[in-house]
Amino acid sequence: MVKQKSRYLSDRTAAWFYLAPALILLSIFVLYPTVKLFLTGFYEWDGMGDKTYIGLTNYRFLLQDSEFWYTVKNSFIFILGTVPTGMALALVLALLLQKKIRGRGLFRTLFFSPVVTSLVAAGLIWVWLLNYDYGIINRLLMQLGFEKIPWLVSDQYAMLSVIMMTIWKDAGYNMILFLAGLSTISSTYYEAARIDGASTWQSFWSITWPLLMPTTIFIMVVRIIFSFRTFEQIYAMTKGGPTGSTTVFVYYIYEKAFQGFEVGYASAAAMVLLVLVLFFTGLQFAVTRKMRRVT
Amino acid sequence: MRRVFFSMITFLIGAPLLAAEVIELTFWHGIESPDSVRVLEDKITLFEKQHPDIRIRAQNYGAADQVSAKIMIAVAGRRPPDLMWWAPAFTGRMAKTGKIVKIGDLIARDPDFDATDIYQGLWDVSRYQGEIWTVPFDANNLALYYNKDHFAAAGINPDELNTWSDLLRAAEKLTTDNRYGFQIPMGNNEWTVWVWQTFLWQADGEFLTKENNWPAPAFDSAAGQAALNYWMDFVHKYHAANFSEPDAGYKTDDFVAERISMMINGPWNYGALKQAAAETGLNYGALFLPSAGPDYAPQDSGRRATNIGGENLFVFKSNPAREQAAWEFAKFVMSPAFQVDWALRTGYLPVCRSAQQSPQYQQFLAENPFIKVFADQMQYGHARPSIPQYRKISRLLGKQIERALYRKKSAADALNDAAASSTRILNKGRYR
Repeated sequence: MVKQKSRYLSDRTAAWFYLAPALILLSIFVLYPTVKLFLTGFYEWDGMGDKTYIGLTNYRFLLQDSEFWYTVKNSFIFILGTVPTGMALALVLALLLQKKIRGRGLFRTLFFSPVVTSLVAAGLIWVWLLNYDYGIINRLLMQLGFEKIPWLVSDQYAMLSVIMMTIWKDAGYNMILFLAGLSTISSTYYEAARIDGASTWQSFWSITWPLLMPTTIFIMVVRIIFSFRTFEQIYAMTKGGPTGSTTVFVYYIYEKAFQGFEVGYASAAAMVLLVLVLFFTGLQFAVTRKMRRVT
Repeated sequence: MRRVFFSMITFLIGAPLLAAEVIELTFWHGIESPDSVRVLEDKITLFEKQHPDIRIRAQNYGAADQVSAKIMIAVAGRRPPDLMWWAPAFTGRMAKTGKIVKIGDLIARDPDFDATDIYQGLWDVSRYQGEIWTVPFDANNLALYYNKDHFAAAGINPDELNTWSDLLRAAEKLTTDNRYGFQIPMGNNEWTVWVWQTFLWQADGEFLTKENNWPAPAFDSAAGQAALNYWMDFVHKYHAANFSEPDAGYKTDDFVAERISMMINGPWNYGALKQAAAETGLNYGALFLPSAGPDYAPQDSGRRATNIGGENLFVFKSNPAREQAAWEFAKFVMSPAFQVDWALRTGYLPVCRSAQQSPQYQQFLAENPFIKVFADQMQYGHARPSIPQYRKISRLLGKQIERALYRKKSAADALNDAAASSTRILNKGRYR
């Protein structure tokens, strides 16, 4: 009995020992900053001088801050614009490149290459592509007999421009995830369906789509969470403008903290973001648990 | 033999100790032009020769819009630079943090230093709550660039360009199918506000007022509306100007490529313009900014106005010896010897009278009429308030100006909204 207990203890010690590297890193780089952020949200602080405790004032101002709500709206437009369309594109690419076509490896590499490109570098390339006077895209439009579009300089098109760039950037990554999901579907289902005379369309809706659902939901949730955290392409392409039309959540936080010296206020806004992301993570857990129970 | 050995040992141990007395100061700057950086390096070498116990390690902090984040992180990490080259508009902000040295104290302790040689207007932008916190490094202002060839072709006499109406009429004449007469800065950044303020002042307006010794916005006046409407009409009604790329009103690309005939900009592009003149035959000049004139300012006083810019030196708190060393460098920078060379080789304007009046600089102005316009215009220089809230107010105003330029709002609404938010910011803590 005694012996067993000591063994249990040593197991526990060993477990902590094995977990230590991850735990230490997480504590330093995630847990500590989060706690610090939470606390900073209760202060008025310019980032350098003394902090003044002001309780919930930051949160109260945040609720009344029309600019903040405009930012929230922009973030949701961005998410609605990038997630469904980007996923649909990635799924199409994955379905095409799953087939044993010639040059499959080349196409996979090509579609994946934007993913490994730095977001800022890619953003700057898109700034050139979308330039009103000299950009390739407007040149092409003119060749085809269309009017030039003020992509980045008009508040009607700037968000669309950033969304286009983001879809292009992320399609390859989502494609790889879909490809992985597709490879887990046993070919026996398709063989059986073919014997039963199912069309490609039918076998997609009856086999691929339902069996791919866990992957789809995973990608969707991850994309939503990542989209909330969008910053680099906004910084590189539009700096949140024109007239704030591309100021999304994190860009707003950055602007408040590092341009406006309102670190306390920005921390409070970041806490709101954290809660939103936690909500979607919780949703993901709930949905996947339910799905596991169903299957 | 033994003695030699011991003296050698003493020397070997002692030499590094002696060397350790050399104070190495870190100096952050954002000077972009490689030519100007070379001038700075020469000057630092000279300073180190004059002060063998001080070393200056100059580091470029890169893009200007990143500086506030970088300095915030450096201060948080307790490794701020000793000296920093930055816009004087940050004086109030930085003074309030308690992380920089109050230059007024150093001046008070240094009876040999003649503060009256520096222009009063430049000291004014270096103040926070009445006391001097930063040191003028270089100065500039805004004037009207114009393309001499375009003016000649359109038959416009540059000397007759004195009011907003003159400017508008000239721009209309200069506008062709593939060229605009003028350019209005678009975007909500400091540049847009900086340029706009000159129009506000030209129309007899003020940026802030002080009622009961407390600052309040004053830009939402008839003068402010006239200035903003003038900009909007220039583009939307008369089609005589285009907008700059968003937040890039300072870029000279369109002017150099002759896609516009006039723009508002500063003297620091002199090198680039000279190069363009050599390469593409760009024939450029500079003019005083116009006054509003009777068509736009009912009680027109013919007021000329430009906006003083430039950079200041911020000295960060460390220890008395380092702060003193930093002050030595600051004095070196403000000295006429530095200011004349710096002005001659970079196009910046000197910060002290003795440099301005030196024969060498006067001869330079005679040979460089482009720079002379800016130097002469210094007398009409207004400055942005150096209160800690300035940046916030400027950002708010910039966003509203941008909205008006995009015709999302009327000029009156945009300015009133900016004024209302500014009042809230300024009144924070007023009744505490």
